[in-house]
Amino acid sequence: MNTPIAMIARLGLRNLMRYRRRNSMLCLAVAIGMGTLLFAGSFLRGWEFSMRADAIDAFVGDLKVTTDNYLRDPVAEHGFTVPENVTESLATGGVRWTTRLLLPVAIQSERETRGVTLAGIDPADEQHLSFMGKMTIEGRPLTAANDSGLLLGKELARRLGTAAGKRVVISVQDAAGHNREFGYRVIGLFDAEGTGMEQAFALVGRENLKQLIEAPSLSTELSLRLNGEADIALWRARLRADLPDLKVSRWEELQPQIAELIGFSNSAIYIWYAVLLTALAFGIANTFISAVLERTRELGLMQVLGMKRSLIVLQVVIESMWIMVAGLVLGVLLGLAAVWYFHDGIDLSQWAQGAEMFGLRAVMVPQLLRTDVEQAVFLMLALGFVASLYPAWRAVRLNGLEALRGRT
Amino acid sequence: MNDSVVVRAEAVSRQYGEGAQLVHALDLVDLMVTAGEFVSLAGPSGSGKSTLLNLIGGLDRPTHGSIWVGDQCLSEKTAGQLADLRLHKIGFVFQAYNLLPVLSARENVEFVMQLQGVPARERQQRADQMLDAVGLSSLAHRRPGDMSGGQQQRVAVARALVTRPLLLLADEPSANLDSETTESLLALLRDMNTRFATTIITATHDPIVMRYAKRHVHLKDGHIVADDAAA
Repeated sequence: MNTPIAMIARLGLRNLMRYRRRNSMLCLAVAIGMGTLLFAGSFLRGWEFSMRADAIDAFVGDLKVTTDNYLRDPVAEHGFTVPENVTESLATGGVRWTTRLLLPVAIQSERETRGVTLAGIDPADEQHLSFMGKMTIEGRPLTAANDSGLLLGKELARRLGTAAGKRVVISVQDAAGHNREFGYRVIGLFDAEGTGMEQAFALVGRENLKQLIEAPSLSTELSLRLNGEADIALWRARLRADLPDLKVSRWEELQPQIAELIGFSNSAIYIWYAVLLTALAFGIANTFISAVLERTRELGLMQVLGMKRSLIVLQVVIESMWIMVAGLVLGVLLGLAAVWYFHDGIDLSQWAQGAEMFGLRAVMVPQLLRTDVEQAVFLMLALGFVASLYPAWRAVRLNGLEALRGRT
Repeated sequence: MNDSVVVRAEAVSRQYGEGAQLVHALDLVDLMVTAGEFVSLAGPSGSGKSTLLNLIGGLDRPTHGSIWVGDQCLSEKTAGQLADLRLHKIGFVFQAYNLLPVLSARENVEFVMQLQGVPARERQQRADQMLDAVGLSSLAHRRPGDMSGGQQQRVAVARALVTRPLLLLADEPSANLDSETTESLLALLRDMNTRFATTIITATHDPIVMRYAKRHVHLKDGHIVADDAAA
C-alpha cells in the first residue's frame, strides 16, 4: 500500500482493535439499530404486501376493464361484451385473466334479507386471480363456470341464519332493467380470513348466472393479473387502444383507500428511519468525540509531523466508517435472521379483531425488500459520515503543539 | 541568502497573554544556524528555548520578527504550507518519544515517508537501513509499548532522520532517559550529524547533551545571553 489513504485505513483498523471494548459496544449499537430498522421495516412492508394482495385479490386484479357507468352504478345494464379479438390477444399474450359478472342483489333466507354482491365467476380462472385460490370451503366448492350451486361467506351465512344445504332466494335486476328472482341451494360456506370478502360476496358459476338473466355474452368486468409495472403499463395501453369506449383502471384507482394506506405506510417507514437514525446519530457522534479526545496526542503528533488537515479529517472519518461498516454487516445479518425466523409469519390471532381493522391478517409475514436494505445501509453510512464530521472538525482544530502536550 | 544558512531568526519575539498577564517568552532574538551545525539551546526553564524551537519548526508563529528555514520565510506560510514544510524539510524528536502506538517500529519510521508518497519498496528499504543505523533492526516489528524508553527514542530519531531532513529539531530528547542511554542516543545524533551533515538544533538543560553539541546558545528570560558562534 503506497498512498496515505491506505495507511490511514490501516491505522483506523488498528485503532479499532486498540479500543476494542468501546468500539465493540458502538458496533453492537449500530448492529442492533440496523437490525431493528430492517425488522420493523419488514413488518410494515408485510402489512403493505398483505393489504395490497388483499386489495388485488378482492375481484380487482392489477388491471380491470369496466364501463364508465358501471363504476358509478354497478348493475347489469352497465355491462359489456368483450370482443373476440381482445380475448384472443389475452389468450395468446401469456397473462392471467378472466371475465366476471358482479351484480348487486338482495339475498333472502328463511330469516333475513341482505344486500350483497353476487359474483358470477369461473372457478378455474379464479384459482390464480383472486382470493378464491386461498379460501377454505366447508361443503362443496364451485366446480365449473356453469355450476348451479351457490357459495356463501361464513359470516354472511351466519347473519342470514342459513347454512350449507339450505336454499336462499336471490333478487337481481337483469340487463334490461327487469327484476328477477332465482332460488339457489347453498352448496358450501367459504372462509377468506381477514379479507372481509366473506361478508360481502355470494359466489355462483358465471355461465349459470348469464343463463338465468338471459345475457349469454354479458360481462361487467375483465380482470387481469400481471407481472410487474412494465407489464401493467403495456397491457393498459393495449387495452385502451382495443377498447376505447371502456375504462381500464389500475387497482389503485379502484381501491384508493388501500393505495392511500400503503402510501402512508411508506412514509411511516421513513419516519421510523428518521427517528431511529436521529437517536443513533447522537450516540455515534458522542462516541467518536470521545475517540478523538482520547487520542489528542496522536492527532497532534500527526499534525506536527506534517500530516495535512484533510488527511486528519479523513483519518477520523475512515475510523468511524470502519465501525459503521462492521456494525452494518452485523445489523443486516441480524435483520435477515429475524425476518428468516419469522418467515412463517407472526401470529396476530390474539388480536385478530383489532388487527383486521387495520387490514392485517391473523398471520403477518414480514417482507424484506432489497431496496429497503440498500436504503437503510446507505442512510446509516451517510449518518455515520455526518456524525463523524464534528469529531473530525474537533480533531483538525487541535493545536498540534498543545495536543502533543496533552491539552485539547 | 547564503545557501549554507539553514535557520535565520530576525528580531523574533513571542508574547503570550494580554495586559497584566502578558509574558515575553522571547524578546528580539536573532539567530543564524548554518548547514551541518549541531546546536544546543540551553537555559533554565522558562528561558524560551522550547519556544524558539517551536517557532523554528513552524509549530507556532512569532508575535514579531521573522524566521527563515532554508529559503522559506515561515511568517508568509499558511498552516497547510507549514505542514508541508515540516513534512519535507524538518525532522522532530520529542521528550516523550511520541510514536504511534498501533504501529510497529518499522511502520513508525515509514510513517512520514508514506505521507510524502515514497514508493513502498524504497520506503521499506530506507526504514530498514535507518533502523539498522540506530541499532534496532532486530526490533523492527515490535510496537512502542513493547520497547524501552531508550529504544523508543531511537525509533523516534530514525523516524526523524529517515527522510534526510534539512533540519532536525530535538526538544529535551534526553529528559526521560538514564545517562547511559542518553550517551548512546547523543552518540547516534552526532554520528548522523557527521555522516549525513544533518543540521541539529536541540533544546536542553542536560550537560551531557551540551557536551555533544558543537555550538552552545544560552537563553535567559527570552534573550540569547551567550552564543559560541559569536565568540
